[in-house]
Amino acid sequence: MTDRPDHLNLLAPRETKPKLDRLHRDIMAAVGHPLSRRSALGIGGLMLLTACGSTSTGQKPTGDTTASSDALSGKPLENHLEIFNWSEYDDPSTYKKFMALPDEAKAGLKIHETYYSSNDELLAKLNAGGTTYDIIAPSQNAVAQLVQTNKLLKMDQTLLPNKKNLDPKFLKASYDPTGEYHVIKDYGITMFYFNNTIITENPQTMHDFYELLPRYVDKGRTNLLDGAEEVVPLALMALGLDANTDSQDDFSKATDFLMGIRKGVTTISASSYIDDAIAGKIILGQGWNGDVRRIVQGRKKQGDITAVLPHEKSEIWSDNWCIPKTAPHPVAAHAWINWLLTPSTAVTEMEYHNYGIPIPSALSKLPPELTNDPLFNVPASYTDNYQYILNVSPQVVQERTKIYTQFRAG
Amino acid sequence: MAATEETLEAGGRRRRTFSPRYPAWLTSPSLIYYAVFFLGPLAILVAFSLATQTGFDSISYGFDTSQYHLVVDSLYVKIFGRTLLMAGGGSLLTIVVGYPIAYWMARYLSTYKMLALLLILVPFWTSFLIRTYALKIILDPHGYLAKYLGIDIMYTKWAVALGLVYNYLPLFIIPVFASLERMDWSLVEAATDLGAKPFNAFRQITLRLTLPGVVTGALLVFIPMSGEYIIPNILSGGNYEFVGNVIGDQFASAQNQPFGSALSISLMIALSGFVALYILVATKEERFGA
Amino acid sequence: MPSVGGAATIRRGRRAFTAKRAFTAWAIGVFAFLYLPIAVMALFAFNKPSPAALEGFTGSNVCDIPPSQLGNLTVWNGFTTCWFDVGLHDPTYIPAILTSARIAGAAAIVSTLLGLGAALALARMNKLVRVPFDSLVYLTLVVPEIVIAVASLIFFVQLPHYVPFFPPLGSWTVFFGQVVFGSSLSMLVIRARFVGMGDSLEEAGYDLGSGRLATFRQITLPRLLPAIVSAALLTFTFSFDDYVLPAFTNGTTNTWPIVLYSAVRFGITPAVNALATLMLVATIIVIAVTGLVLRRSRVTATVAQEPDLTLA
Repeated sequence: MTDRPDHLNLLAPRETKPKLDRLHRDIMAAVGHPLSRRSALGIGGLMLLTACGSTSTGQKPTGDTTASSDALSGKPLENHLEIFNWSEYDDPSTYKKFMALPDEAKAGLKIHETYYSSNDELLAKLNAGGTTYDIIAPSQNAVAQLVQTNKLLKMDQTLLPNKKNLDPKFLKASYDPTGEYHVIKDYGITMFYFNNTIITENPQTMHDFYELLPRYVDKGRTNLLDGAEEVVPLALMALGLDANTDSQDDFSKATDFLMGIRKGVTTISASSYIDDAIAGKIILGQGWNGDVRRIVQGRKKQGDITAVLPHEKSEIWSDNWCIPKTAPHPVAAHAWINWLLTPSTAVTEMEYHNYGIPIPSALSKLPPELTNDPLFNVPASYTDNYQYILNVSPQVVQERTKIYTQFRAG
Repeated sequence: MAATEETLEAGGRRRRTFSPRYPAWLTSPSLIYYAVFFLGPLAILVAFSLATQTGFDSISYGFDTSQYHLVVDSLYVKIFGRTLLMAGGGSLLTIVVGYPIAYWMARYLSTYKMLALLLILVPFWTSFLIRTYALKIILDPHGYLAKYLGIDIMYTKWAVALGLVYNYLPLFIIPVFASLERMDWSLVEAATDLGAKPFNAFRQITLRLTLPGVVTGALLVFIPMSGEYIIPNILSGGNYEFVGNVIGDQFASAQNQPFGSALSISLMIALSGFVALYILVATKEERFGA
Repeated sequence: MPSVGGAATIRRGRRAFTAKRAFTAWAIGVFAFLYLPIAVMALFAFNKPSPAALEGFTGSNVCDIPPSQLGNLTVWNGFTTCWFDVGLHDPTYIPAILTSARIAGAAAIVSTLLGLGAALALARMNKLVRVPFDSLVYLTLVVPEIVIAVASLIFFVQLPHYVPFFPPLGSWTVFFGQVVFGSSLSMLVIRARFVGMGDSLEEAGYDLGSGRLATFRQITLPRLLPAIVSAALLTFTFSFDDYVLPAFTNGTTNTWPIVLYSAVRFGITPAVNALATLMLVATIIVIAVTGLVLRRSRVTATVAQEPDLTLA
């Protein structure tokens, strides 16, 4: 596990970074062993003594520290692929078929996978450094942050011919403006659902949803999705504000709004709400479209679940394939992403996890009950109004966390 | 026993011809280990708490104590108080449930002692996640317990308490058992024969002699409970916010290592008060060791 | 047992009888409470997918239905054993269980040894040395786990830069982190027992001419053995079931709680219940066999029994 030269170590004082980079490059020319850099860095206890002042510059310099992977084309395929992914998010056959592909089989490529259960965990590990992952699957807010902190490899487009299969709308995104740091894995939206035998009204927007909470919480369990990066931006959007705002004023409004409906919330959980809802235990809740679709299907017999795609603002999110800059097997990583972009693979994947992959030729191969289902194939008339939630800056993220803590504390 | 008292009272200066002491170097493996693998990370923590954040993954070191000022915000103090209450209540319940079991095992079992011990531990070799989710099924508002016995405590603090007691019981029972196991029961019998009421005999003999074990157990349970957040999360449906959640959120969600570290150190300092209490009690009781 | 008179003996006997009854009843109640969720977990290892899921399914093996389409598994849908097959053949479950077991075993052994040494030496040291050491031990217990996890992660990432052969993030680093808590735990457990033990028997041993090591081996160790075993079992349990610390310091290694925790997001399939049930059964069998073996050796080797001397 080698420390890549341009990997910003967590423990380096910000203002010394340009100096260390220059020094490192000089040494690289001579020897290649970044000893000086290492002796300049130290672990926490030693840093305490140097008592550096805090002269932060905020934004990281991009440009010359971006690792370009132009050198990759022509390099041989490695024999190992380390994937760091959500659990049970990909069809097992996808892995098998990848390893059985002619080039991969010839190279004797083996896949190893480890799991995380939240983007925060992923970010914490990447930030700490020393990772040997080749492929990660961050959500869009994490991608934005990783691009900003320069932790992702700029992909070699020549190794991704299948990108032509993607719907062009999804090539670039607000969370990755150049589109070179990610390839979309799947996407979805945040919506809500309710038991229509108990709630006989007709909510249309997210704001309507929040309004219903205090009124029906006595009749059964209500549920919100958890996480500071969901709760606060969703509330902001319900109020018609920008989900990625950094205005204190907006945050105060969101706080007041959230605390106002707090009593109407029974649980705040994004895991296991699907099973509970299918069992009829939740009468009003937020959910992601794939999950809500499962709930509706699960309760087809009772037919008492109404799913609502919110008019006006809501969240659109995506999970994306990215390659960390420190990936030891970048060629294999590209090959994997390219494989996931083949229409047949996309079909298998969509049937497994029930979320949309924007590959038109794959979508056309899906059975009509999927493609005609607005919960799977969310019409653009809705998604055009939806926003990607991003990790804009540390301050925004921390403010959201503070409000979330306050909300949960009741 | 007389020999031991003499040695202690003399402040350790008077030595006998032999010393049942164990050589001091026996502590050095632990010491070295702690120095490297505990104090090292702890030093990082302290450095973090005094640092300033300058970006998502970068901080600049210094002596910035502003994080500690933020800790005393009323929101966090409230959460902290609530956490201590939960941990205290959970510990109390654990003691109430666990002590009789440890007593039963130590006093009334002979051949099956270790078996009972193992049986207590066996459920904990499944995963706490599976166990807690199984508890969730049992406590389900539409489940049998709720329907037929009217016990609907899911998502309330009682569900959390139940989950905590369930998961921390062996941590309490084992040190208490270890301590009770060495108890000389004939002392109690002698006392009751001489007219003492059973409860008094228990209080003045058994409890006194085994107090170190009980306090050890109580602390071993109380302290981790204060940092607990996964079990409360599952059983309360995310309804409660404890210090463990806050710290977790600061490190994970907010990515604010300085503040998270400051919170952690504050929590540690607060809990250390209880620890100091233990050291006092335990030291005192050692003189009464049989 | 000193006898004071017939009536007193009977009175005491009756009181003791009801006391024992009460305690046994309580113990049974608590064991039931402990095992009820386990029973539920085992039961649901045999649960079929929901009727809704089965409707749309045309294959022969119901366990082939993808996890996202299994439906409501918190109610009983019928009996099937196919989950055991799925669990045993899943490429990640068994390796993760074995990894957890390996790390936990190593952590238990090392923690117990470290704790034993510390407990023995400290119990009789003077306060000046003992109090700081105790404080350090308690400090390790007082740190919330997530905090030490993050700090340890950074520590382990940096250490290889200064210490040449230090292993990268993985089983080793998980092990290193867990032994910190484990050794404190075992030190406390062993000391709680050691302190209550008294040194009169050891004194007797010395007086009769045994050296230090022999005294330890023949007198102290056997009496301390239950506590040592308890400490080892406790640290093993803690380590095996640990989620937070390994989640941060594991690198690319999967432990069982990590695999489980991330599976929860999409709904735990009964396959993990099946595996947990198998582990449970295996453990119980091992205990039963060990118990039988010990019983046999106890019958034949009465010398191993410690003399019931009570020199109070």
